Amino acid sequence: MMINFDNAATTFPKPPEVRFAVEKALIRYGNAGRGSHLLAERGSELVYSTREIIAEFFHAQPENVVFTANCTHALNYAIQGELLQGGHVIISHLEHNSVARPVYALAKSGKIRYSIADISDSETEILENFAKLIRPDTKAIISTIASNVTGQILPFRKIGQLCREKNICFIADGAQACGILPIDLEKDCINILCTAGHKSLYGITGTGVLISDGKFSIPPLMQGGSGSLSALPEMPDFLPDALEAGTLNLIGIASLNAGIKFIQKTGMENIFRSETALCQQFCENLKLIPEVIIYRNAKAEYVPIVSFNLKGKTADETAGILAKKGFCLRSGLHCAPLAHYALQTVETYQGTVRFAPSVFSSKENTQRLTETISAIR
Amino acid sequence: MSTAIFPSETLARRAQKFLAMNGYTCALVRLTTPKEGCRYGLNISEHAKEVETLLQNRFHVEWKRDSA
Repeated sequence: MMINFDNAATTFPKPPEVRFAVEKALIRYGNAGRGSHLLAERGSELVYSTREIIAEFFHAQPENVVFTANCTHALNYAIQGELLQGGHVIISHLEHNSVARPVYALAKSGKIRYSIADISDSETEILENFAKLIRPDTKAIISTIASNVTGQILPFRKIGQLCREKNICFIADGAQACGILPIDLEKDCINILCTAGHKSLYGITGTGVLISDGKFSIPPLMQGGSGSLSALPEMPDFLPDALEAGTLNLIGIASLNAGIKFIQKTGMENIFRSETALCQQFCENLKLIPEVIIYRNAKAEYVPIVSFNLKGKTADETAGILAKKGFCLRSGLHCAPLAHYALQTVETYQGTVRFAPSVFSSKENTQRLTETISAIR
Repeated sequence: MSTAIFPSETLARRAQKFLAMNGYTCALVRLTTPKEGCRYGLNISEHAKEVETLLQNRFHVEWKRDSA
């Protein structure tokens, strides 16, 4: 028996449509944008149609959709590009290392300064915490839309509005939100959205996307072939070519194309509802076990992620016991140490255990999991 | 025939789709010049004037016109 509840790391299994698209890609596509023969042409058509699907999904323009290797890759482009000339930046204490580390590296090299906004369960307080850190030299707010540790949804639309009012760039990490929550670059005032393709967008690993609203230019950080203006010594200065040096991951792009179509067919609201119902069932069952600590607050809103611990056991010990029983749950710091320090889970538990269902998770398996946790005591 | 030239394949495809939505068909071609390397063109053989006006209003585009 193997039951996966580690879908916040990568969704597993993938929809049948995605597996089919990957198989088809292996026998159908050549290198996109590198020729006018049939294989290259098919590849180019796939790439463009996927840009269109993504642009429509997030309300952007197709040429502002950049394919990357993962969300970290996209965030590095956005962060290092926007802060190339230095300045000050604000992040939240819920950030993943994909945000925290590039920011820290820039600060360590003396190029930028940064501040960390505290996140509470109050939207008003969160906004105030961001607003009071804005300085005359603040270039950007970089914030996750939803925490990969607790699942807490930040008031990202209001943070975006704040950035628009102050004319600073809002870079949003949508890794745990895209495909679960409706996100609209224009309405939500997001300047650059970075996300993974292999989580709730149901593509395969090795896929990520950077989507820009075109208002802030992002200089290329990597140079190489782009299939355009190739006689020039410099990278093209227009998107997406500026940020897509080298051959694109066509198999991954085919999977992302099929993954987003799967979400559209299933309905994002239905996905959110079904996964949230499993989280509620899980929390209600866990509340009956006195040794369990759940890291949720009634006032906050969450994507379908629940972090918990068992008193007397480290997170790794709990997840290790569950793994032996066939359950896949991620334990530890989840590459988000700032969040764990804020939750005070580091010393006692060395992190948390994370329950993250997908659209393919079932009530029966959630029930089995809680029964197994209950029997650990 | 005239050719609308774009530096990026993405923009050329977007323009091609835009024209198709407006009822005009055109072929996308890859153009290589010694000075700039690869660019992308839309070959327009019919209704050239209308197509040019449509594209000019929406895209930054360079034109190559055959005199014949």
